[in-house]
Order: sequence, then C-alpha cells, then structure tokens
Amino acid sequence: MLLHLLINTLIVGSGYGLVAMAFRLMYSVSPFFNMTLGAIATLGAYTAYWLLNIGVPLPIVVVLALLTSALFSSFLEIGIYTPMRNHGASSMILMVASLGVYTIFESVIHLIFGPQYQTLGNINQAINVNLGFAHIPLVQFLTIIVNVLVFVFLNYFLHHTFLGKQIRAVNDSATLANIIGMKNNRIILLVSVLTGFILGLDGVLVGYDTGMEPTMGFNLLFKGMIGAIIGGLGNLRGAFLGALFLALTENVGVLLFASEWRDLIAFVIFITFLSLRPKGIFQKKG
Amino acid sequence: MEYLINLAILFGIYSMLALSLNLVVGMSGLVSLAQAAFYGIGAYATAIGMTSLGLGFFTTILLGMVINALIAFVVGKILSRFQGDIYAIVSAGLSIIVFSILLNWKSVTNGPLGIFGIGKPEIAGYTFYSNATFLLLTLVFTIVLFVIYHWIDKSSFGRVLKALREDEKLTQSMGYKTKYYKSVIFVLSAALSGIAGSFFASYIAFIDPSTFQLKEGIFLFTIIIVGGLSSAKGSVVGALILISLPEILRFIGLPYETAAQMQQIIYGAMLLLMMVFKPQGLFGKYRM
Repeated sequence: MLLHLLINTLIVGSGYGLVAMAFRLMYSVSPFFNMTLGAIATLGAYTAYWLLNIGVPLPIVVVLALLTSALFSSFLEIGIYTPMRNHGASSMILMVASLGVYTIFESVIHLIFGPQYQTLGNINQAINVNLGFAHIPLVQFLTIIVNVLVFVFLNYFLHHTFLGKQIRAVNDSATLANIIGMKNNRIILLVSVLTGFILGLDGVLVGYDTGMEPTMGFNLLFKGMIGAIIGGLGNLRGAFLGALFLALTENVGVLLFASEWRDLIAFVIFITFLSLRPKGIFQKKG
Repeated sequence: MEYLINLAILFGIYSMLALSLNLVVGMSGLVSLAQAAFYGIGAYATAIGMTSLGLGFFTTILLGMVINALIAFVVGKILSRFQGDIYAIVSAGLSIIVFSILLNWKSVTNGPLGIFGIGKPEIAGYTFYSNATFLLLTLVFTIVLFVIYHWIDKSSFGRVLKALREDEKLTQSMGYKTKYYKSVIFVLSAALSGIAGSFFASYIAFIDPSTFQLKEGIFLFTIIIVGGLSSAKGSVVGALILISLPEILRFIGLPYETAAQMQQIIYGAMLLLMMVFKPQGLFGKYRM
C-alpha cells in the first residue's frame, strides 16, 4: 500500500516536474506568470502527433517536436515579451498579455486538430517495465528518468557553466547584471529556448501517457506552477521536490476522498502553503 | 426583435458583472480572476432556491448575495495576504475550487447535469414571463448597479480605495486600515455579482457548472480590460463590445464550432493588443 502510494507519487510528480522546472527556470530570468508555457508543451505534443501521422520515424519526430517548441518559445520571447519589457510593462501586464496569447493558441489548435482527445500511441498499455517490486508503464518510467536527467543537467548547467552563472546573475539582480554589461535580453532568449526544449519533451511524453486535447496546456501549466511555487521559486531543487510534494498530497487526498476532488485538493494545498509559508518549502539561502 | 432583446438581456447581465468586478480590479487594484465563482454561486442560489426550496426570485437574490458575502469574507481574508500577480493566481485557484464544488457536490448542485426548470421573477402577482419585461427588470438592476458604482467612486470610501491602489503603505501611514477597506470592497463586489448570477439563472432557466469556469472569470476580466479599469462607463462599454462582437461572426455565416473558436481568438487578441498599446483600457483611469 505504502509502496504503491510512493510509486504513484513518483509517477504523478514526474508528470508535473518538467513543467515545474521549466517554469522556475523561465521565472528566474523573466519574473512573471507566463501562461504561454502551457502552450509550448501543447505545441510539442501536437507537432509529434502530426508528424507521426504522416509517417515520420519516431526519433526524428521527437527531435522535430522539441525544435518546434523551442522555436515557438523563442518567437514569443522576441516577438512579444522582450519588446513589451523594453517598454516598461509590469509583470501583471505581461501576465495578462500571455493569457491573451494562450487563449489565441488554444483556439487555433482546436480549429486545426479538433476538440477531441488524441493520443500519440498505445505503447503505454503495451509495454511495462518490471522493477522487481512493481510494474510501471514504459512511458511513465521514461518520464521519471527524463525528469531526473533534466534535473541533473540543469543543476550542472546553472552552477558549472559560464552561461549558467550569467542566468543566475540575472536572477539575482537584473539591473546589476545589465550595469556590468551583460545582455539580459539575450540571456532571457537563451533560457526561453532551453525552456522550449524541456516543455516540448514534456508535451511528447504527456501525448504518449495521458493523451492530448487543445486545453491540456492550462492544466499542465497550473500543476507545474503550483509545484514550483510550493517548492519555493528560489532554487531548482525546490521546483522538482515541490512537484513531488504536490503529487503526494494529491494522492493521499484522493485515497481519503475520491479522485474527482483531485484539482480541488491541489489548489487547497497550494493556497494553504502560500498562506503559511509564502516563500515555499525550500527558501532561497542568503 | 426577440434576438435583439436576448442580446440586450445578456448585455445587462454582463454589465452588472463588469461593474462589480471593476470595483475590485479597477478601483482597488486587486486583480481577481475569481468573479465567475461568485457569479456561479448567485446563479445556483436562485436555481436551488426557486426549484427545491420554493422561494421567490427576489428572495433568492438576497440569499445569493448573503452567501456570496459570507464566502467572500472568508476568501478575502485569505486573499488579503497576497499582492500583485500572486493575488491573481490564488484567485484563479479559488475559482477552480468553487467550480470543482459545483461539479462534484452532486447532492446539492446535481453535478454536471445541472438544474433546470428555474422560474421567472414575480412581483405582487405579476410574473415577468416575456423577454421584453424581463429585459426591463434586468436594465433596472443594471442601472442601480451603475449608480452604486458611481456613488462608491465619488465617496470618501472610494477615494481611500484608489489611494491604496496607488500606494498601500502611504495610505496606511495616514491611518487608514487598508485591510479593512480591501475586505469590504471584495465582499460588496461578490454580493453584487451574485445578482447577475440570479438574473442569468432565471433568464436561461437551466444552469450547469460549465458556465462558471475560470474561463468565464477571464472573459469578465477581458471586458473590463477592454472597456477600461476603474471606470463605470468603461465596464458597460466593454460589455457592449464583447457581447456584440461575436454576433458579427454569426452574420458572416461561419459554422457554429468555428465561430466559437474565432470568438476566443478575438478575445485573446484583444487582451494582447490592449496590454501592448493601452493597458488601462478604452476609458480606463488606472494602469496595472
């Protein structure tokens, strides 16, 4: 029972983990609640769907889906957010603008692909990974692995490369970074490309796991965002563990009540957490 | 003619919602996306009150307002801890919580099946059966809300709200308990949007939770962003534009499904363009 709960938590939590990390990464250089992050993941899923349907082999599909998401992400940054930021738009204005973009995106996907549920394939049911003590569907197993890999990569990247240090510098103080001659907008653009890759990957995994519909982005983003905020926006570890914590409390809640209350439980936890510990479980040091 | 009356009734209902939302977002600078929740609670108060409890329409309006005020009092206490964009996200969360309760508390709300057979308003034996008379009643209430908005706007209470919107710390330093002011306006706004919910329920005669999702809250937010923040005129003009615009799409002759999506695209584009070029809205007096 306990083992089952823990494994389920790991599976559900990994589902939120990539978006949580992407959100936290983007937020660190461009601090507003960017609603289009959900759209970027959705685009990855639908690109993969379209390419698979016209018969492109899977490895190329994955690469192209990730590239499309990254391109879209950087396009939004260059075309919309950077000019707005340069004109002194507040974080609230940027958030509302991103909400507008998301609304347009969702309807465009709806018009092209239709409102119905679609899935990238049914390998989810077909193949299980045997861990000795439990069987996990392949896609969910891969999601967990990808989460760990992205987490390790980002940790290394942010702390041990020059670019990573620049990102952290912008995070600490955008003005100061600008004064010492760093090109903040270029760094934000690079982060948006990186975020695009992570979100595109998440979209493909979700497309295989639970399937996709035009409105999927909103739910993905909200759960990821809650995970990142619960964990504390200060560091990456917080975003990842926050996603796991959200999954754990949701699963316990579902065991105690019923599964239809899952969303309600998530938001009650979110609000309780923010009220009691506004800076998250893992507050930023220093 | 019936078609125009139908549009005018919807215009009245959305004007009421926009006016009450603008009290919070425009006048007080608290970006709330939770308005659809209070709209829904008002609608359900009338639906349940009239069908199961056998109450009259006007009694259920009061019932909805009281329930909304109580909920808003508690919710406002939670929300008052947050500011800026976190406030917006938390209020969106509250909207999702209320939607989830409307959807899953089946013994009271009848869940996704909704409630039908909601009656029409009745005063002293006269029932507002026809749409024309219903429109008249809706417009009377819309005007009352417009006047209430104007009255708050001009009162010293409204001035304190606008002051705390611009600089909360400074307002506090002058001795005003800003928490109290924010709480009162939130409760008032919630109670007033309940009225719109009651009218909607009685007019449509059938409601289900899907009308009162976060999406609706964002739509209401779009109305006041387009019309203008902190402006009574802006609220009404915004409602007029966003209610009548999709009708033009209908005249072009797009299929229903396509028209619905085109409508969303236009709403999204309006939000984006407003943010880029005129964040305070057409008649707005406040910029986020």
